This record gives sequence, structure tokens and C-alpha cells, in this order.
Amino acid sequence: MEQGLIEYNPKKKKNRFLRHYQLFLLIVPALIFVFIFNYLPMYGIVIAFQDFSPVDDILSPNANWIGFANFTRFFNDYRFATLFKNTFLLCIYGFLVGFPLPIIVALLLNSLKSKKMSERLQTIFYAPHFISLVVLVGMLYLFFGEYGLVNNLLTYLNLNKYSFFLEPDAFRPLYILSSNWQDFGWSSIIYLAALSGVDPQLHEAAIMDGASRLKRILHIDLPAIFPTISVLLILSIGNLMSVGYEKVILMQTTANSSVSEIIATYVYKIGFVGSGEYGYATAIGLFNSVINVVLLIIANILARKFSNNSLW
Amino acid sequence: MKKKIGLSALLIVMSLLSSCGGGNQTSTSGDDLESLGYQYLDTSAPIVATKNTVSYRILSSKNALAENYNDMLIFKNLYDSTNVNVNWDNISESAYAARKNLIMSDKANYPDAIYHAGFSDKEIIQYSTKKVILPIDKYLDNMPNFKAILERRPDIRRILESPDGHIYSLPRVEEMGLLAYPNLLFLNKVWVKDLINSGDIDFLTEEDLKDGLSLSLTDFEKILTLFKTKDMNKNGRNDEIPLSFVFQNWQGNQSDLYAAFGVPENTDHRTIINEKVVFTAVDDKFKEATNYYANWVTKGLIDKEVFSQSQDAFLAKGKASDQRLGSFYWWESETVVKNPEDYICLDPLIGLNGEQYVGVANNPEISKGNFVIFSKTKNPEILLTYIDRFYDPVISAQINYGPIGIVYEEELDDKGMLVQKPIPEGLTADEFRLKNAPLGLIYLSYNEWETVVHMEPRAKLRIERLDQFVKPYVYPGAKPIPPVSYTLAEINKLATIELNLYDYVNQNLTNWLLQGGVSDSAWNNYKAQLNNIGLNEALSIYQAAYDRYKAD
Repeated sequence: MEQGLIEYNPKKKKNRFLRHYQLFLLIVPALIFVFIFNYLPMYGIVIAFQDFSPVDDILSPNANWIGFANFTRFFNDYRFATLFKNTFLLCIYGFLVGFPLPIIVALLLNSLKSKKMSERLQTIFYAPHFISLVVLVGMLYLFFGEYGLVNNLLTYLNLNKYSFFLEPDAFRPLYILSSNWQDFGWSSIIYLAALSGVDPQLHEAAIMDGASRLKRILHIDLPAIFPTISVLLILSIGNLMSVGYEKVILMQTTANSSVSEIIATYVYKIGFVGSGEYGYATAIGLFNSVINVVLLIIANILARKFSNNSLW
Repeated sequence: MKKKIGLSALLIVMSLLSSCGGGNQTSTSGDDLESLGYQYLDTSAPIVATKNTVSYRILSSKNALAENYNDMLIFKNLYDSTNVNVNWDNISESAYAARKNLIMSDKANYPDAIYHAGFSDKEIIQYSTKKVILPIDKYLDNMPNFKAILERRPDIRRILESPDGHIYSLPRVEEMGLLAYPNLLFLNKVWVKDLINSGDIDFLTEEDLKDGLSLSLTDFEKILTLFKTKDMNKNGRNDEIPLSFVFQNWQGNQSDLYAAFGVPENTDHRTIINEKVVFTAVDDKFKEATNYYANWVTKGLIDKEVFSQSQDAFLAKGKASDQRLGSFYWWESETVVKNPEDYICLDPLIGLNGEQYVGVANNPEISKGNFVIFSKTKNPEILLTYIDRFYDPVISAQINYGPIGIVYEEELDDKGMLVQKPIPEGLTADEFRLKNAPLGLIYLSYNEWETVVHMEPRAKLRIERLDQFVKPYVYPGAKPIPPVSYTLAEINKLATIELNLYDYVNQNLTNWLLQGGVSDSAWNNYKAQLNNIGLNEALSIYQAAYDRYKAD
């Protein structure tokens, strides 16, 4: 908003801040919030380099500094490769399904003739977003559990039961599809908002020229939301390796843990459950964050190179 | 992200603690012991002169079925007899497990002590070297009951002592000779009788169907297969569960199935055979057994849900209106099924080579780490004298089973022992006990069952059954691993190995059992990986600690 004003401002740079101090004031609460909740707690990452017990002070002078020992321990852990692979695969599959889906849905909804129908479908699509994670996983157990709806149906049809929660092969599809079922409608809102900004004259002109519906989607709608797509793409690549532990923990059984043990769940187990190795857990979490930052930077560089849209 | 979760969890704990304990913080500041009228020598007289002078806050996890400790009759009675007020701060067992570390890092809101603390050796060392928890042995004189126990039982003292020679936690001692044998195999005799009558089974007669029946694995498999294919409960649905248990549970687990192959298995996968600590899950017989039972899982003879079900889910199954359980492992049939009279208790299964064995579990009858007291607690003498009352045998019995007046009759029997009242209608023995008894710190050794309190009827029944059907079949030379003490270096080493080791073994074992077995190459890889993780190091530590334990 300010940028727009600044461009039309003929005055010198000096006065810019004073003239628009109200606008800067508006941004202050957000800055304070980010500082307090995102930057201030960050000093805690120093315990990744300590042998830290829960009763220690994070910045105590007699902290037991151990350098990179926590990191080497993780790299030498027999689980390292599996954890890395499981996290990566879960995220990349989730990304491959979950990124295009809302775009497609938004394009389809937007090109529906009946506006009323489109609104109704939107409501239906984003309703599952409000189901809590715990309830969602509870539903999964009711539907796909050993004695759940699907298996009862299979037994009724004299087919073999399938143990969705015990087969490692079933974990990722179940996780990814349920997540996407829950969130595709919600994520499409941002694209629908971008689509509503498309000038209707473009569509009218295209119709006059005899363009089909598909052609209009490809040549008008898609280019219109392309900047949004690329920004969201960069952001989601930056988040590629970060997946919340909550749902995975809830869906985890010993039988599927060969694929469902990911970095986040391991950090949770190391840090909170068991003997509370905060230092080790923080080191693993920090390592994960570093990967995310690297991915984000790469994605941003690529985006800047191939299009004009980038975060910085 | 993680930071934020940690922070918010911390806030939750903080608000919880402050809301529960608000205003009831230790009020003894400035009061010296003398002016309070503190005494510890007379173990039946009040500890302080008047009520409302001292108050402590003890944090404790509690079983979901238990009443709030503040409302429990046994603790009200203790308040009346000691004049020491204790505010119990209850959180659920699962919440405690997840929050223990957060509680310890929240220095401003420490309670005075933690009951049901469940502290491991590593935690005790970690917190005692930082002087967060108090060495209890300094106050031994203030604990006459406990001191007498330690003098009588140097073995208990040895178990409790940390590497620095101090005692930081209080024990639970319950000696009945039960815990090492947590599995009994029950079989639905009505179903088997139907199969005999229909001519499907010819290797058994109706007369055989009584407790103590010995079955070979192959015969047992035949029975299970018939359970699976026939509609035994006649409800028109194929919902029979031939064999069920709870995988890796402390009781009613898969161990004895492995013992039939000559592996004295338990859920830790380690046991002592002829004074050597042995890891069972690398034995080739373990592989054979896994392959054999994986086949049972594939054929549906073992309920697949044993791998994911909780103890509660298992117990709910046996209570369904149509009986679905053909056979199961548990300590007793009464808590599992609603028709226990229809089930017989089997001898251990006879293996393919004619071996008939059971393993022994490492569940300790003497466990440490159950109670810790914080260094910042004011007048710890008073609290410790109060806690010492728990070790009075009559109080111990009430702590463990429920108070006189609810669970026990007011009158003692002619031998001067506590007599249990009948269990009220509609409650199982387990539910009745858990509702009224906090459990935790007790001392009930073999002696107390003769002089102070009768065992629960179900415990007596269990011992009878174990004496007949389990104990005679213990694998030759097999012994449970006692609660040995480790040195600081050993504890640190084990901390990095054990988690990985057991995760790796249990994960693989589950996968093999569910996916039809293990190939030879996968088995060799697994053994090699175990050595990478540090199995041999761990074994030598276990062995060294056990040798020291024996030498003492």
C-alpha cells in the first residue's frame, strides 16, 4: 500500500516517513508480534550445541558446550537416512498432489456458468478445513481401521480385509489424500481471489473471437494467476521439509513406523517423550530448518531467473 | 515451530500448575520444626502438633479410573492422623509422560515432590547432579519405617543407591512372585467341545478339556484354523478371533509363543540364562519362530489388531455380546471375558521339537524412581516423615488396594489380618481397586502376606495357576534381570544405544510378523545393523552390571 503511495509522491525521500507516519504505525504491531514470537525465542537454538538437561538455563555461564556433537550423533544414527527419506517422500508426494489440486479446483469453479452453484460448491469444499486434526484421524480410524467401515464392507462382500493402519504402503496415500481432502477447498480461496481480479472484458473479447472454455482458462485465467502461483510455489518449496508431527504421530503404529517415522516425530519423541534430550532434539530440528532455508533460497533464485516473480 | 510448541506447552503447564496449586504453596516458611511440634519417632502419632500449619503440594499422575487424590479416603485419613496437609496435583498418566520434562524445566513452579515419578536412572543422575532433587538418605532418621526396611533389606538399599552413594528416590516393593510370569494362555472350551462333537477334532476328548491341557503347536494351529473357518459363536458372521493378546504389552504378550521354539523371550528381548545376559532377538530360533507365527498372522489365526490395539481395546473385545475370542494370553480370564467359566487355562504350547517352555519377564518387584522430593522444599523432614507412613504395612495395603471401610472390613480377622470386602456389583476387581487406591509407594514383602493382609482372591488364583501351568515350564537356567545399578558412564552409553536398539528390533519384528516372515538375507542384515547400533556394547554393560549385582 505504502509503495503505491510513495510512487505518486513528488516530495523528497526525507519527508516520506513523516508524511506517512500513520501508515508505518499500522505496521508496528505486526513487527512487534513477529519479533516477540518468531525472533526472540530463536536464541534457544544455542542448546543444539549443548549437552542440555531440562533443568538447565539456556544461557547459563556454566552450560556444557559440546560443539557439533549432537549433529554428528544424528548423522551417525542408523535412522538418519530413513528419517530423511520418509520426510522427503511424504512431503514431495504431498506437494505433487496438493499443489496443483487447488489451482485446478479454482479454475474449474471460476469457469462454472452458475455463480450460485460455484458458491455452494466452494462452501462444501472448504467445510472439512474446520475439522480438528484429532477428529480427522479419529474419522480415518472409523473408516479405515481394522474393524472400520471399509473393512466391514469388504468382509460383507467376502473380500479380504486390508489393514490400512498396519500396511506401510497405505500410510502415505492415507495421509496425503486425507490432508488434501481437508484442505484443497481452503487453499483454492486464494486463487479464486486472484481470478476475481481478471478483467471480464478479456473473456468477452475471447468469446467474440470464438475461444473455447478450455482456451480461455489456458490463455486468460492461468496467466492472470501465474504470479500468485509462483509466489506460493516458492513458499511451499521453502516448507517442503517441514511437516507437522501431530497428524503423523496420531496415525503412527509400530507396523507402519518404517515409513511414518519422520524428522518431526523423531524430534518430538527425543525431546518430549523419554529422557528429554533437548539438545539433541534441537540439533535435529535446526538441521531440518537449515535444509528448508537452502531449498527456499534455491527456489527463489530459480523463480527470479525464469520469471519476474520472487520473494526478494 | 518447535520452539513455539514448546513455549505454548510450557504456558499450559504453568497455568495448570498455578491454577491447581494457587494459594496452597508451602506455608511453612519461617516456621522451625520445633515450633510446629514436629515429631517422627512415634509412627502412629501426629507428625505436627496442629492441623493447618504445614501444607505441601505433591504432583502425581493418576490412573484414568482413579478418583482425584484429594478426595481419596486413604489420604483424608492420613491427614487426620498426621496433621500434615498435602494438596495433590493430579494429571493423567499420558499427560505426565509427555510433560515430565516440561515440569522439570519450569523451575518457578516446582511442586514439593513428585509421586508416581517414574524417574529413570538417567533422570535421577541428571537432576541430582544439578542438585534439583534432594538426597533422601540424609533424612533417613526421620523415616523410621523406611529406615527399618533398609536395615532389614540391604538388597533394596543397593538397588536404590545412585553411583554417588546417595538415595534420591523411594521404592515400591510388592513381592508376590507374580510379575516375572505375566502370561497365561486361555482357550474357549465350549467352542472346542462343539468341534469335538461335530467330529472336526479327533485328537482330543471332552475329558481333556480342563485346566492344564497340553497342546502341541500343530494341534493348537488346527484348533485355531477351525475357529477361524467355522462360525463358532453362531451369529452368522465371520468375526471370530482365534488368538489374541497385546503385542509387547507388559502382560498378555507374544513372549510365550516364542518360548515354544526354545527362546526364553520377554518384551525386553533380554534375559539371563545360566548367569549370562542374553539378547533373544538375534537367536536363529527367534527367526524360525517369527516365520512360523507370521504365517498365523497371514492366515488370520492371530488377530492383526494385536499390533495396534491398546490394552483397553483388547479388554473391550472380550465383553462383546457375541463372544469372539477363541483363545488369548492374559494374566487372568476374569478381566478379559464376561464368561470366564467357559475358558480353560492351558499349559505352555509344545513346540515343533517337543520343547515346552516359558520365558521370564524382567518386571521388577522392587522398583525405584517412584518418588522424588525437590531440594527447594521447605522442611523436607515433615514431608518425608509423612511419606514414611506409606511404608507402614497396614497403610501400604490400603495404598495398594484401597482403604479400610471401602475395600477392607473395619474388623481384622482372627489372625489380625485385613479382610477384603466383597466387590460391589457392576465393577470388576480391577476397576474397584483403581478407583479407590492410589498405588505407588508401598512395602509388601512376602512376609506381609502372612501377617498383615490377605492377598486379593484373584492374586491367589493367579499364583495357583502360575504354580501349576507356568512355573514348572520355565526355560532351564532362565532368570529375570534384576534391577541392577549402572555407573554414570554406563547410563550415558545406554541412553544413546537403547532407544535405537529397541525401536529397531520392534519395528522389524512387527513388519516381519505382518508381512509373512523374514528372509535369510534380511535377517543377516538385521543382525549386522544391530551390531552397528551397539548391541554388543549394551550387552557387555548389562553383563557387567549384573556381575556387580551378584558380587555385592
